Amino acid sequence: MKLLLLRASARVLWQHPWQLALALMGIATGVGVVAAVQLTQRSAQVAMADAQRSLVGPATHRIEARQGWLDEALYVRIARALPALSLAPVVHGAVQVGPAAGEFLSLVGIDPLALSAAADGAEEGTVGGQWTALVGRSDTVVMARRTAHRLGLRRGERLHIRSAAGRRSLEIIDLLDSAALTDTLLVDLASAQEILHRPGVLSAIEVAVPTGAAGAKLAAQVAALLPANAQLDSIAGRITTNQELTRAFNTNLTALSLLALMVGMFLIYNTEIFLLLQRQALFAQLRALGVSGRELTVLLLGEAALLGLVGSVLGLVLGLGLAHALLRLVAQTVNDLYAPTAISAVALPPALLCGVLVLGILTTVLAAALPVLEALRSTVRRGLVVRPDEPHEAAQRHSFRRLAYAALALGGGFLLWPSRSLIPGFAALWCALLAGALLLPWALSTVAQRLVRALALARHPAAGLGVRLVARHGRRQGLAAAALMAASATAIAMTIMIASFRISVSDWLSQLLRADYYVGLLEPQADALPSLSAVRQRLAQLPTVGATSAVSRTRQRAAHGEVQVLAYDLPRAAQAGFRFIAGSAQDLWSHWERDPVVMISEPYAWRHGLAPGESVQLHTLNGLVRFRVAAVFRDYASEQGSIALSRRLYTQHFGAAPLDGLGIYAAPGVSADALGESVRRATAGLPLRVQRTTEVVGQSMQIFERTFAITEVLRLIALGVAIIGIIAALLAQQFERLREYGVLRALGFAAGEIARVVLAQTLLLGVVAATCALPLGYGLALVLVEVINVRSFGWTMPIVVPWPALGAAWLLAVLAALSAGLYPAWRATQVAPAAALRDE
Amino acid sequence: MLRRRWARLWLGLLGLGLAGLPAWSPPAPPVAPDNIARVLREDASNAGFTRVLGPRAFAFPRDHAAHPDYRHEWWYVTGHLEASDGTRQGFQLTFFRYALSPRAVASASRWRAQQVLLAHFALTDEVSVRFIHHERRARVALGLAGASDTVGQIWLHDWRLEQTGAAGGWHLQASAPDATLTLDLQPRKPVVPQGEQGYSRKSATPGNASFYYSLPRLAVTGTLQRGDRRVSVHGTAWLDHEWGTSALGASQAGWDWFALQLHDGRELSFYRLREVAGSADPHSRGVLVHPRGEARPLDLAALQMTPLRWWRSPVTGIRYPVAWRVVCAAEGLDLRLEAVLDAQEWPGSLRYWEGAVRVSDYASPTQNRGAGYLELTGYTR
Repeated sequence: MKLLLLRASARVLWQHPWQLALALMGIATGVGVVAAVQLTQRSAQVAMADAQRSLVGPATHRIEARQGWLDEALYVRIARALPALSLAPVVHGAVQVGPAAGEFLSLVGIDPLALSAAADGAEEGTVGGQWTALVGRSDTVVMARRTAHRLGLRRGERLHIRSAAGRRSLEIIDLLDSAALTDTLLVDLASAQEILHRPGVLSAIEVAVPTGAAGAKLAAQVAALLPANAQLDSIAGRITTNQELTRAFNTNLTALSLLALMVGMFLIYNTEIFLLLQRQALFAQLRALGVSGRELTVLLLGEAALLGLVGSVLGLVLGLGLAHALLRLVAQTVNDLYAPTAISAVALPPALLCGVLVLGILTTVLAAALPVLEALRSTVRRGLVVRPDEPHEAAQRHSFRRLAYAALALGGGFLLWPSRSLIPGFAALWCALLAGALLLPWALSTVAQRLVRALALARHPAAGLGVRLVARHGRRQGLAAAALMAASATAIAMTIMIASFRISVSDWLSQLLRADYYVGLLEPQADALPSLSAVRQRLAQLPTVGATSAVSRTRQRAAHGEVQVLAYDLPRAAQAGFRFIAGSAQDLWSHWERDPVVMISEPYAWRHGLAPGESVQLHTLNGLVRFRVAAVFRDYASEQGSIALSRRLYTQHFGAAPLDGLGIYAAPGVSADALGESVRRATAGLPLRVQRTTEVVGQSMQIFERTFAITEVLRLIALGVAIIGIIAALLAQQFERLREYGVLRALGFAAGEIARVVLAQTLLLGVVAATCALPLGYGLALVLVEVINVRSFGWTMPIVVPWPALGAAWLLAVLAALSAGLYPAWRATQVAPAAALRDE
Repeated sequence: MLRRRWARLWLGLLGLGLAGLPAWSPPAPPVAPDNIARVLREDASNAGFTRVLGPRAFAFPRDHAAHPDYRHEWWYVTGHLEASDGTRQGFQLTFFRYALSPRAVASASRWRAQQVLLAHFALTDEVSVRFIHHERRARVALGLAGASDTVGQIWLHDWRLEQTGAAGGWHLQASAPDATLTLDLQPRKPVVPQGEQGYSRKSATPGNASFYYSLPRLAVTGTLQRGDRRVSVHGTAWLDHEWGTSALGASQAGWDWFALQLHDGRELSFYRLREVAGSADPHSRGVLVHPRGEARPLDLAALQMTPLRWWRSPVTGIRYPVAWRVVCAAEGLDLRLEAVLDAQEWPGSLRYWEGAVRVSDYASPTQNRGAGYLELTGYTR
């Protein structure tokens, strides 16, 4: 009996190879996208960690001077007190290459004998046998191949530099393929002190302590040895913060891949229903022959599991291919932004593969369970008289609607949940998506019913029949449409979010950057105090310069830990650049120079729950001092947030701080070009970066685009695969109908009219899904922007709707649905009426 | 992370403040592992250094000190310890000195160094069969590392080897997170010059030689701390001191060296210089020290050594012969040298194998004849 069942099942599948293929494709696409995203994510994570390590090296901490330089005696003191500690001294500076007006490169002095990873036997980026020449000679340098190539230099040639100590020529003893070293000259520590004319001082001391309690104890011992002027910062801590962010970024990607699986689930459900409907007569016969419902259930679920297995394996193959393509893109970004890393290989954790496989099979069985149970129930009820339609559809639609309302309520609950975690946020997104999907069949049949009436009046029989078919088979077609809508809505939501972010950032930048030119140090040197202040004085005297602004960035201790403190010297024009989320600009600026008031950035306010009128406490030279928060300003620069105060107030409480940047404003009637020309002339030969504001904005936006490139492409791939899957599902449904179309032919419909019937159905489906996706997508975008972004980064942004992109998304969804109708429409015209009638 | 980086770059461009992130600096590129034999090979940069061209009358303590006119130099202490808790350890503390230039370079920077030091500290636990090893490197600058040129005194941070008092004793100290060793060493036999009165030729080329002497038996007492446990230890050690400017000829690959302290009161040491082709170089030499201290020089004809077993390092992929048969017919010795533990390879800046060995009769391997150290250099994958 079992054998008979199996053979019956296998034969049906073999007789419908198209449907079998489509079912497998549905599973494979869903599983494939999940696998691809997961694999890419894992590989990218590994790559980023590697890049991070290659940037930071084995050091876990860094000692730096709060101001000025570190006395090298500190190094000796620490090395003597903690002889087993791994230490590496560093000297930073900038030198000019070539002629007097030549460009500046960073000069980094290191001790190749210290803190190295020789035990790893690392081959790449080594100084190799050349380290003796680097340490032993004062005229040797190692640099990045790319930089040397740009300067037209080769290994063994000499590089001419100018510095505080005069002219020198250095022999290039090695070239390294490291993006981290771009525009950097690597020399021995002693050479750096000589070249920069900085004997006796260091820029930093890098420290490597082991992880865990022993390391923490060692770090505390180091900290205890430091003079007041020096501070110990954890680099490892910085990596942890970065991992936090990567986690937020990853959550986005995971949500995206689960969406793909959800679309896959719709497709599987759809296929299952089809396969079951095809065999209802068979089931009824089997039941009549004495096969129990239980046996049938086991058979059908087993069949689903088998399909799931085959589909998932196919999906994994698909996912691997997709991941390879994605990884190249990720590698590009990581290379551009970090350091070259070898991530050509997709990391293949077996646990992940098994997980995806199990997920695929479970999803298939789950998606099959509902229609299987239902099919068996109706088989029993209706005995041998079977028609492949769904009379109790109205009741079903009703329960769908109830479920949708429940999902909406649940989502609202998640949103109201007083939490700062991302999980309720994503849960709310899911609920909204689910509610939308559940409501779509109802929307579809409602629209179809209205249209039926309208079309009847318009006497358009083919279209009218197509629409009537949609009205009748609303639930089945609704499912494919719901999948299409879910994919489209998610794409729309992400488009809106990214567009809003892009425009907010661009607005913020162009608002904030009021000056015509910005001047910064090429190499953030610790002794910038005299130099940038002197530059400012010199520039202020130029007739072309109307005003200057200045900023120092420092880190200070607040009651809760370290915080970034910005000390601004702002002319009126610069003040107008700040945009406030809360508090009063007038209140702030009227007290700004005189009273202990500060403004805090939006992320800082969010993270610490602060509002205007409240106060922040900072450890100052005068002890713990309270500063009143007058306003909260918009800021997308730091997720940790910052506190800004006037330079005058800063100096009063923290002492003088070196300047880190200048803004230069043109005098009335002076063009930006003329200003730039005079500023460049006045600063020629200094290690400064002089940039026009538009340049600064342009470069910043370029970095923005690059950062989001991965998200963008992933989104497109998920959407693309979803659309392919949906086309497959629609195809399957239309094939199912071929016999009905044969009957229509027999009734006298022309071939062209039949084709129109088919196309009218898919067009209606596409239009309804695409249209419903618009408001749903907007709602999802609201959650993304107002909840997910705030919780991830602490910043808000006004929602911007990119209408052209939305229009494109709408058109894409409609075209996808329509294209799914083309082939069945053609097939429908080919059906022989006689054969169709024989089946009836 | 992307966004963080993005924000940083951004602000870097603006010069508005790098969000509290200190200026990034590239890490020190790792120093590529080197073959010990390559370092010792003659090359053009040796010009200006004094050469070893003939025998030398050693004068102590001056010759225990550093000889900075020569390119390289090392002090090698190896030995075997028994602890009060019954454990047994082999230990090694080595200081390598390498001169970057023959003359001091005038510089405003105190970091400008003429010399660099590299030190290796290892313990081979003979009971739990574990090898722990630590490497330190430093330039001779700012007083953090150095070697006296008047008495035997070498230090790299708190690792040190120095002469104590007039009785010719030594003090040794090395610490690492997992072990701290503090030892006093008293010579039980006089200095034994190696080669021809300390002139140890390595190849036919004049100048490819070193000055080389050994203290073949030192009585050791001291303490070993591992974690919170500190135990007193005693045992026997061997000290080698060797310096020169170039050692190996172009056709030589490396050497196999051992120093054995036999229970019958004799010591046997030998270095077999290996040609790249695999054969032994005729300049290979050794010495047998009798219980009362008389030394008998040995040449290649007087001693045969045959590898018995090879081990391939899982770290570097290099194969080393870690068990040997050593025959010195004139002294009636037919010995088997067997590594206490195969994995006693140094995979760091200098790659070689150096480890504690057990010495037994070749014919009856259970017959324990003593202990020693074996050194294998110049092996490649």
